[in-house]
Amino acid sequence: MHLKLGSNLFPLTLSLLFVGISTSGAHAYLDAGTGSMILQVMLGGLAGLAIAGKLYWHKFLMAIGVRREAPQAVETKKDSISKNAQVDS
Amino acid sequence: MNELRSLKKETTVKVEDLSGVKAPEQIEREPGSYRDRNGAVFYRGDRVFRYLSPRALENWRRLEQAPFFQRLRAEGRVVDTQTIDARAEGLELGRWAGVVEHARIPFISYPYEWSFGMLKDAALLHLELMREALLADMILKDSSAYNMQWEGVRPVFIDIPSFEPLGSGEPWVGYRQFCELFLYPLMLQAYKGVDFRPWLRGRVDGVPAEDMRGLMSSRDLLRPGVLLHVAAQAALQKRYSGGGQKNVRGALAEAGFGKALIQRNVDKLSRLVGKLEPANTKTTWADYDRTHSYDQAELNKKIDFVRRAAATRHWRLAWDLGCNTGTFSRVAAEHSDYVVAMDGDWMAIEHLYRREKNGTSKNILPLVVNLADASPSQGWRNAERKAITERGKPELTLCLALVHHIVISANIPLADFISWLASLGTSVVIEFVGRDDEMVQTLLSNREDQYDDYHPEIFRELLAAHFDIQSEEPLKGGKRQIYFATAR
Repeated sequence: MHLKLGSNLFPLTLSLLFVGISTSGAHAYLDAGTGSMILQVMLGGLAGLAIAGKLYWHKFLMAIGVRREAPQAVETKKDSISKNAQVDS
Repeated sequence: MNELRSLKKETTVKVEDLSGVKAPEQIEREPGSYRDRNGAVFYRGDRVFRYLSPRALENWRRLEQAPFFQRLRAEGRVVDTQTIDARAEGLELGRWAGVVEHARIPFISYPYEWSFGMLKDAALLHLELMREALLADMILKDSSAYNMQWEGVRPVFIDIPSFEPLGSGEPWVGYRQFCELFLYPLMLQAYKGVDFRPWLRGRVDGVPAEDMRGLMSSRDLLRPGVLLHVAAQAALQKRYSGGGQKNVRGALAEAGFGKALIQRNVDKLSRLVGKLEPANTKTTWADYDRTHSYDQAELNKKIDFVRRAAATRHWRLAWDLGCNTGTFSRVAAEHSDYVVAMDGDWMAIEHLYRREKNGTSKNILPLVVNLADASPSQGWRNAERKAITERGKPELTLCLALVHHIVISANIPLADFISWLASLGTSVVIEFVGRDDEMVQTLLSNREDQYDDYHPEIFRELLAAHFDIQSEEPLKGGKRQIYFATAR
């Protein structure tokens, strides 16, 4: 029972990181799977923890109204849209 | 996919349907090569080519120059591939930017025909290629187990356009596919003692995380890799299954997701996969050291007969049906370019695989195939994965200590079996196991004897009706009779 709770709790905690996060397009014929991509942060060990921390900090800043959306996110969005346009053309 | 060109003409789709290329009539498109629009495999005669999109061609040029790729190619771990001058070959490019030619794989096989050790070694090679590619700032964009093929018992990666430059902040897109097609099937056998092959054969994309999670008990969650790769992945996929959520890929890139994270995941997966072993096999393993009912003198007599028959000419492709641990496959291999050794017993195939891996022969491919339930044509248009008989027909087929299993265990009429063999156009070395043989008596002991057709005279008559019997010899004091018969 404890195990089951633990096994469900921690991915859900992890998924909280991504609530309200910005979007961008991506191109690959294979769907990486949103859940599987998020998991890769956990699988990245210490480097992953650093990223998780950064995402939490970002969410904290957004929560207290210091920041609305990271400027890089908008850039990423533009980049990938133009990349997609190139591929399609 | 790099496939043998034994595909039927009538099942192929004209190349221009999908690529805009006017195809000379001798070109055959590979029906399994459609998922990635950046390339398309086709055949001309015995040669295997692949069209490349502008993007795939650019990637290929970079890959070709990469020292890691040159080394892997020289070692035979990725299929030998060369750029082709399309004009000199008389190939029209259409919308494609270029063409490469791949070395031919002697016999295409699928993960649902591999033993545990084969799937494990294919997974380890995939991870090794990932590691090498990442060091050169490249990645494999997918992780299909079908991109692995075999040269004998050596795994070879065939999907060259899968190597792509790694974009900044990009995750490993193929991670989920690696789990579904490599890791979960291996875990099924290692942690649950469940045969993974029906799961892979039943679903072309492999085992989903959710299904895998459903199969894991609380205790299994403590086993290496299950909590993260299975439980967490299933939970996260479920959490995000509704669609419409934010694009995590951009968020990851933004937060500084980098190559180091993928490298760590790949390294940990390599260690995890490397330690997986099939469950509950320790006791039965030793039984395979003695799996026949012959004494040594009789066995030598049988080996000599097979060797004389095999030595009558050179064979391009030989099959050994019911090969067990491969004693006679090795004899056939002396006179054949390639031998596909098949048995329904996966442990026998595992035994054969491990032995050949440590041995010297390079031309025996062991496969887990139950003839009464052999691999069908399946996937898109039922042509993506081909039935065993659609991948190259044998010139010589060994059926030793097999017929009693076919007729009595599998209830296949003897006449049906002989006419099926004849339809392959193959010569045969075939053994009839008489009713007074202890193996047949064991099979008959628990069932009604409805096998009116199972008699040596009927067998000989049927064989003579479809083949030219060249030689025959009694074995085990007349309890068995072995024949060499050539195709008519």
